[in-house]
Amino acid sequence: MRTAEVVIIGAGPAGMAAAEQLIDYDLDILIIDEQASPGGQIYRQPPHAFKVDNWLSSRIYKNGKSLLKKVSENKKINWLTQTTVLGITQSDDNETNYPHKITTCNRKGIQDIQTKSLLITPGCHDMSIVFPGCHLPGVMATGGIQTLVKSQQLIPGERFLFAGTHPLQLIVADQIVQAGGEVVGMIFAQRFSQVFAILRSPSVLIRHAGKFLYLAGVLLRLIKAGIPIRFSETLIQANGKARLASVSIGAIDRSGDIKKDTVREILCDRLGICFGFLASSELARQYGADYSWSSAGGGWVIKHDEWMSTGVAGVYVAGEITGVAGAEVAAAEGRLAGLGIAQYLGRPGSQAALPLFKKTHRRLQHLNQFANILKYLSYPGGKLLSQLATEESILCKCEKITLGEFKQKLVEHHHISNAGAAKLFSRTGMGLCQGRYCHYYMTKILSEHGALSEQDIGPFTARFPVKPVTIKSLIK
Amino acid sequence: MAIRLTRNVERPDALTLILNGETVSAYAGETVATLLFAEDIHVFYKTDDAQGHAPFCNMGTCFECLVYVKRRHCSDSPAWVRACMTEVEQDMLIETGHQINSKHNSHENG
Repeated sequence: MRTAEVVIIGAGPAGMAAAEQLIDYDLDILIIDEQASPGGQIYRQPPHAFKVDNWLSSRIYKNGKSLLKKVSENKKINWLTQTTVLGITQSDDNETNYPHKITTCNRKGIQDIQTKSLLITPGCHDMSIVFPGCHLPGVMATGGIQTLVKSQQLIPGERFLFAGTHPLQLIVADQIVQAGGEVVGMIFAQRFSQVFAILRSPSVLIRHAGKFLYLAGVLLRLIKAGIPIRFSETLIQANGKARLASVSIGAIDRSGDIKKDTVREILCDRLGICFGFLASSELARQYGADYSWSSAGGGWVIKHDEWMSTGVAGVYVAGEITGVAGAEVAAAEGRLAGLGIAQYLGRPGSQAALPLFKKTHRRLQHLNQFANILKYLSYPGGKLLSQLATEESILCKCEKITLGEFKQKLVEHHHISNAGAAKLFSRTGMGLCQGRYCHYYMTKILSEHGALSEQDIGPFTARFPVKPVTIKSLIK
Repeated sequence: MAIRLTRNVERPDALTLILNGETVSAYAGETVATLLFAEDIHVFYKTDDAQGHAPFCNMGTCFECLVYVKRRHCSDSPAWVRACMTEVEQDMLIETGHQINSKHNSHENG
């Protein structure tokens, strides 16, 4: 069986920073990623066969791109790309030095890998919002639109509308306009004055001036290009028969209520949903890592100590899985996890890294100040989310269950008080995405229904395989 | 209709494959999802009630972009794959708009 001393699952900023930290300790490192090239979603690279000039040319990507180059070019690191991790189990042999067994799947089939330690950095995915028409072809995650533009070099539509609460929509709209596409509008649910909340923290503003200046530059370019940017407005409904044709937009009053008499319609063939992100924590939960709920920070996130250890011996986490906070926080956490793993494996010299450990923690503290401001600025809040979700809206796209149907199950079986029971009675979360896109809403509804905390409701039980696979390929 | 960017981008020579019975061209490194967008396909698969599904996440997590694919160098029977995670290949056969859970029922990790 293939073995490694360290397996890093996920080659985004956290995984790459950890690898960079571990290079000097002369370890047998294997990085596994579902994409063809490292970078994660933020630095998702164009295909090898393409030659792209000016890829992510803005200065804010400079550090990430140099990390990407350094890790990609290092000959000591082993790679397993275009490969999905299906699950992690304890090795069959208890006496082995390789206690963790990772089951992977790619075109060649299933492969088990045993390792002494592992770092789980699976990142996050866009939060899906429940509203009438949310299931229509043409409605996409803004992050999904962005990766088509920056990696595949494709503008996937003719008229783009972005709606939500997260500033990513500015960046993606800018990238589309720069590439020659048409953006018909950006809709922010927040009041414009809320943007100035950042001014209340001048030290953060100064420390992160580069990022604010970049965003200001993007904003200016969009205004100059004549793209309408609206605040205190929200999408209400996606319209169209077989596919998206238009989006209904309404104003939000000062108390947060949607004003139904203000509804107008915007014609578009592509809607980017941009309400923030959910942590992809299922793999770590499947292997026994402890978790907690964070409404604004990505739903179910994984607990860890200051060395990023999960408490399961030899298993570390870093990045969005610990709470969605962006690429820089992810990279800092990845560095800490790298130091933690070196120490766990007893590598010579790992003790001497204590000054770096302390320095990285100080940096992480500063980065988190920015991340927290962004987090609370871009959190849509329960009031908006529950107003958007009508009874006819699809809650679970895979199994096509409406919110009304789900609530009816709660009336029929009023004792339902956890995610697992709700799944059994309603089929919500039983489909191919395995609950990744419905669980956030469902948790909120159950919490309200039973007057219980999200922690009491709990997540869907994460089981092997964490992504669908045929029985045929498992038997081979 | 989606547009392939050409400014600052050099693509390899085009390859050909069969999409819903018709010959179309694409470029090595493109995903099946990219090809389908470029060919103006809006429904990738359907659920039993004929509801159309199309890409949401473009990163392999939502499973909304499943299509039915047969590869030339693959002895396996045709299979459902995630269009966003599967690269195009010369002579690949792609079919869209099928109902899942009906006559085609095998999903491959693609």
